[in-house]
Amino acid sequence: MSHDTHSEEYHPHVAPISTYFKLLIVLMLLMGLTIFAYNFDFTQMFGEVPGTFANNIVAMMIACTKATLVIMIFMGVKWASKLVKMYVFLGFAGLGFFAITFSDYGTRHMETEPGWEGQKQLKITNVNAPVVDEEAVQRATVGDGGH
Amino acid sequence: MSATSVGIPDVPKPKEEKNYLNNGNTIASWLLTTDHKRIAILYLISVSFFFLVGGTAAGLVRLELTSPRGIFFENETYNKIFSLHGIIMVFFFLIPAIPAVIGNFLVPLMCGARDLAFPRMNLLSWYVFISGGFLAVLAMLLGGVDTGWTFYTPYSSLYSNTQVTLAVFGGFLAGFSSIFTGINFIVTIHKMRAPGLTWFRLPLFLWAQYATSVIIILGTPVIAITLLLLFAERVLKLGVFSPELGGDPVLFQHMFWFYSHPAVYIMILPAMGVTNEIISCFSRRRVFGYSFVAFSSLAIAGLGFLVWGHHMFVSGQSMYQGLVFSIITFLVAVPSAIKIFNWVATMYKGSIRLQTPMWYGMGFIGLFLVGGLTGLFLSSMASDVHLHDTYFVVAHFHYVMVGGTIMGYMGGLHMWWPKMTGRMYPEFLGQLSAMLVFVGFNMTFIPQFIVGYLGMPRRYHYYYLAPEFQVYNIMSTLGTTVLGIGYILPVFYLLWSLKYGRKAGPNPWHAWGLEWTTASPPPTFNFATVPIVTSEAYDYDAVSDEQHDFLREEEDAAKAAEGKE
Amino acid sequence: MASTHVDSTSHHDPEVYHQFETLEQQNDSYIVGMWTFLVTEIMFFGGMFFIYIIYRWSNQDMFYRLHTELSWPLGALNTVILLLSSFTMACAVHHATLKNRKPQQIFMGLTALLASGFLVVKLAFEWYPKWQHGHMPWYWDWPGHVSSPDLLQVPGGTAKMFYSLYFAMTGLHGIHVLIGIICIVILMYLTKIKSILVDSFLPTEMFGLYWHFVDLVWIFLFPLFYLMPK
Repeated sequence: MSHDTHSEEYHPHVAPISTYFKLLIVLMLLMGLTIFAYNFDFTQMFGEVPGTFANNIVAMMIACTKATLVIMIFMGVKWASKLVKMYVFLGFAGLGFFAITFSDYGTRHMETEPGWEGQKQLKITNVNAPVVDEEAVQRATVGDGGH
Repeated sequence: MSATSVGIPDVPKPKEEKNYLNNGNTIASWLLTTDHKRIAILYLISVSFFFLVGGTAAGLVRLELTSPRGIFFENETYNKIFSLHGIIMVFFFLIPAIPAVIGNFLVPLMCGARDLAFPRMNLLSWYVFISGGFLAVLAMLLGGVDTGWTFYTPYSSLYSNTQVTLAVFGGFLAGFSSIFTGINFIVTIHKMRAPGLTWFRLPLFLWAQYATSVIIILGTPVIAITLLLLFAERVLKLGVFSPELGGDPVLFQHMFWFYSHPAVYIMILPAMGVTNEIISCFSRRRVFGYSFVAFSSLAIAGLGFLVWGHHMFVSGQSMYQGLVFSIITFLVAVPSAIKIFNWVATMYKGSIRLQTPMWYGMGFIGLFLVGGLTGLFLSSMASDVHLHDTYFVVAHFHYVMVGGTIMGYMGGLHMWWPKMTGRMYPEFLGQLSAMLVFVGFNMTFIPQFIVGYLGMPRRYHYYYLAPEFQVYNIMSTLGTTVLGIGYILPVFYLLWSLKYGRKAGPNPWHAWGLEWTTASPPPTFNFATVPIVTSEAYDYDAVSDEQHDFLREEEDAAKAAEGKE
Repeated sequence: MASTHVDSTSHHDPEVYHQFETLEQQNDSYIVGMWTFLVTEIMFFGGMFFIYIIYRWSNQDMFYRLHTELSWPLGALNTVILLLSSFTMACAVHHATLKNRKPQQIFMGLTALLASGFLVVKLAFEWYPKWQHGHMPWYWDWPGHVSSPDLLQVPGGTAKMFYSLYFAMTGLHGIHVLIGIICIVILMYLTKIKSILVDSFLPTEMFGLYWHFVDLVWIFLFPLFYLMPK
């Protein structure tokens, strides 16, 4: 860009390589942290919260931190225009639209419609399973006599 | 607006110079063009073809339903015919119609730009679209698809032995073409507006296109991944939506409607944008409540993503979620109503000229109103249980998708036909076809509301257990005939006008907008000089009474001239 | 309504395409365009992650059992490879902006090598053994093919579902890596012949955004598939 006439008007941002290298180190450390957290049970730390849940939160928090760092520095959003920042935000905000669906899977077991009581959660039933008729077992245990 | 040119932009008389139509006549110059106007024409030809295919299928469906025991189709054939109608019309006509034809032509012109931001990607989008359409048509020729346009699993993934794979892949490709168009519009509207053309001076058509493009880039990838997984489930035997594996077919419906409900807004928002332009121009008034109309487009785009569950009230989702979706669905009525009220308020005390685009514009308001209001019956859960999957739903979404989108599309086509081709269409035939469409449409679909309320299910072939439905079906089929004439008529007179139509000046409607400041048809790079905008949008109020009289006289003279020919 | 001033044919800067006014406008447009494309990619992969979340939510125990079949050290190795390649790509963009062609080529070559390394680990050390053990999704319909019989104890074909998700998600990511390799080879070739197309740093920068996005997806895939808590 040094020769042409626009060089006075237009300067793309150039981050130094040392910044990228520092980020690389941080990302590696965070990866190590994820693996450490994988083998560590957070149940004691969070008391009542089940271990799976706590561990998932921790793992996803680390992943989100890594993602934010990559977006901000490797992808240069930190130095980008407001418009680019808006679209980055829009992209991830768009994922939020999916979240309403969880109100479906989270509340199906609360249905009071006759015949739905057995479904305490989204239940796996193998149509092809040769031995156990799970539905029959379920009906027997719940004993609703709905149908 | 500079003081000298009020309402009627002063344009130098166009010389016999190169415009985009005669700039290169070889086939390669069309097929390898990166000119957005030529690509719009390519799209126009292709979507017209798909409209013809889908329309023929619709006619066959209606003909078959005139008898309770069917006339000439087997059950399987009937399933394939209505699936053909749905797939072709939704993915290959309604979704691309306004953005890819009218939008492609107008977005750079309205922005005052020489082209879209990424012209080569624009061309690519047409090729991808055509390939998708080719696959879909091929699927129909190789035996058809019998899943309906919704491709519900597990029928589509495990059981149907028709050409689902090809059709799904065609839809996947069509999705990519609209993604490319959406990206192009967003970047063009953001970065390439002419100097002085601020966001609140934009024509409302561009606001609508912008909102549409946001829906496209957020929604279309989701249908892409859904169709891809369906494809993988069929071809590679992956198990994702299959209930045999504990998968949830309702999840497919979630994913499908996550896109396909916003897709309705992809269809209707650009039509609303066209209607803004038409109503404002032919009432000679600034659109009432400009910023409300502009933001209601964005509000519809946002809310449109939160309502998909109302398609699934009776398909096994949690009823608590149904409640949430029902409430949000009612909310969408608010921005839609804002638009309707603002259009009516725009016409109030306007100096209304009843020309063809205005007939279509007013037809749009009427039909969309009926479509929107019947939507409220369907969005309340209790009445939806009764009405779901009946002809009431069919009539409702045809009022929105056909009565809305196609009225907007036809209106836009007539309004900008002089700009696209440099020729006027015959005004009398135009008004006749607009009225035929309006009358024929209502004749077709009002009986369907009634027969649906009485309980006739959609997608059914035989209804001999309820022979009293026959009278409604015959009424509906009669309406289809009128509707069909209304759609075919423009094909002939528009083609006729290409050669014999009266020459249109740069601005035959005396309309506001950058696209009217350049020659008709525009030169390849649109503007000889970069325009600078100095006035608010729709600055029609500046036209004085004398000028109105002048406009009328000019019109009368044009009519007289037309009569002599 | 509009007065006309600027002659639209006045600029003839060869770097600026005809539809743009200035280089700055052009470069901004390309970056915004790339990001809007990445928004579609986010929603594309987001849909898959969403399906994954729904199914893992309802099958947590089985998914935990099944994830032990995957080797997390290999996953970690691939993470290291991808992070390194992201770093080299960022360096390549840095040098492309400064028009240092030689280091740009070297770093792009390194990126391509690392990307190929990722695919080798993925295909040769992860997918191929699963092929041998009969874990490919289509084998689960014929249980005789599956060599580890204890896996068949997992009820309801959940194993098939888990492996379907695994192959779909890592496969889609792998396809993106493959596309990345093809693009980078083309870019390197164009830079080598000093094509006018890559005179600006924009193509490299845009490819860099794409490549970091591919890395981003893996950042989430790694803990979700390889490091599943009990």
